[in-house]
Amino acid sequence: MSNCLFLSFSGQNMESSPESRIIVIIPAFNEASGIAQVVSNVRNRYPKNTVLVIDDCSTDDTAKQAQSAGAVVLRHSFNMGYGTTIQTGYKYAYRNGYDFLVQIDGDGQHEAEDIGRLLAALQQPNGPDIVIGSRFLGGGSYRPSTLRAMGIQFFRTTLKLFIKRKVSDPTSGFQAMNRKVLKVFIQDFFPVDYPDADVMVLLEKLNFRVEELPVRMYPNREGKSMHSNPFNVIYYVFKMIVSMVLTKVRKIEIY
Amino acid sequence: MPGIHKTIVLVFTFLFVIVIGRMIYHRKLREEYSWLWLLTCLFIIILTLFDSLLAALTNFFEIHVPTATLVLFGLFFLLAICFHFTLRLSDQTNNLKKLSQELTLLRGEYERSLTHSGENNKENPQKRIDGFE
Repeated sequence: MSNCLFLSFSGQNMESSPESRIIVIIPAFNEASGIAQVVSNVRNRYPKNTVLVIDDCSTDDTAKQAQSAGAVVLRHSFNMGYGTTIQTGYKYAYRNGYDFLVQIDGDGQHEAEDIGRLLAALQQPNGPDIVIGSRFLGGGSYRPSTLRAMGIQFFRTTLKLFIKRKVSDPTSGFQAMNRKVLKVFIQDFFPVDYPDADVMVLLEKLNFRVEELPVRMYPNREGKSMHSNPFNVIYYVFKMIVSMVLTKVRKIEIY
Repeated sequence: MPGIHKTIVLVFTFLFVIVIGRMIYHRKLREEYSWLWLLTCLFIIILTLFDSLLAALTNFFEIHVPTATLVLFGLFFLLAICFHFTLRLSDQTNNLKKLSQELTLLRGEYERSLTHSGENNKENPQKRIDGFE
C-alpha cells in the first residue's frame, strides 16, 4: 500500500472559463496499463475540461500514470470500492463548483469522443438533468455473455416495475450530470455498495429528467469483472432488489 | 441446580465482571459497550444465586435442566450483543467512508496548494502553505 502515501503532485488545469465548468471523472483501480491513454484521449479532445482520476488505492502506479498524463489525481487511503470512489469524485466536483460532470470508466471501454454528445444533450435548453450512455441503444457493438445478458434483462424488467419507464442500461459507468444531480449524489444515502438500478429509482423519485444516449463500448481488455464469483452475483441480486425497494420507500432528506 | 455447576458459573461470571471492570478502568473498553456485558453477568449471577427463580423459569418454559435455562438466556444476551455490534458497525462503516473521502479530498487540496505555492512563490514556498490562503 506504500504507493498510496506518496505526496508528489503535479495536478494543474484548474482553468476557469466564463462558460460552464466541466469536469471528467475517472474512477480507477489498478489500471496503470491503460489509464494514461484514457486520460490523454479525454484531454486531447477536451483540453478545457478538468480530468480527475480517483485512485481507489491501487497496488500499481495508476496514480502516477494518470498524473503524468495530465489528470488531477485523488487517492483513497485504502480500497473502498467503486461506489465510494465515484462519490469521492462527485464530492470533489461539487465542492470545486463545477457545473457539469461526466464520468467514464478507467479501463478504456468508453470512447472519449462520446463525451461531447452526452454533454451537448445535457447542456441544451430544457435538457435532462442526467444523461446515461447506453451500450444497448442504437448500433452498439457490445454483446454481453448469455448469463450477463440475462442478468441485465432481469434488472431492466425489475427497474421498469419500479419506475414505470424503460432504462436500457442502468449499470452504465458512462454518465453526464448537472450540479443538481451532483448535490444528491454527494449525500450519505447515495448507495455506494453497487450504485446502478437503485440510483435510477432515486432519480425518478426526485423527479430528475433522465435521458439515454447510445455510446460505443469496447470489450474489456483483461476481461475482469466484479461479477465473476457466483456468490457475488447472488449477493448482488439480493442487495440490488433490497436497495431498490428501500430507495422507493425511504424518506429522503437532502442537506 | 448441582452445586458444582453453581460454583463454576459463579466463579467464571465474577472473574468476567472483574475483567470488564479492569478493562473499563484502563480505558480499553468504552463504557458505552460495557453495559450489555455487565447486564448479562448480573442476570446470570442472580439466576444462579436464587435457584428458586431459575427453577420457576425452567418449569414455566418446560425445560428439563435448570442449567439449560441459563444457557438459553446467555444465548439471548449474546444475540442482543451481536445485534448491538452490527448496528454500531453499520454506523462506523458510514463514518469511516465519510472520513476517508474527506481525507482524500483534503490531501488533494493540500498537494495542489503545495505545487501552486511552489509556482507562485519560488523564494519562500513554505510561507503560503502555512497560511493556507
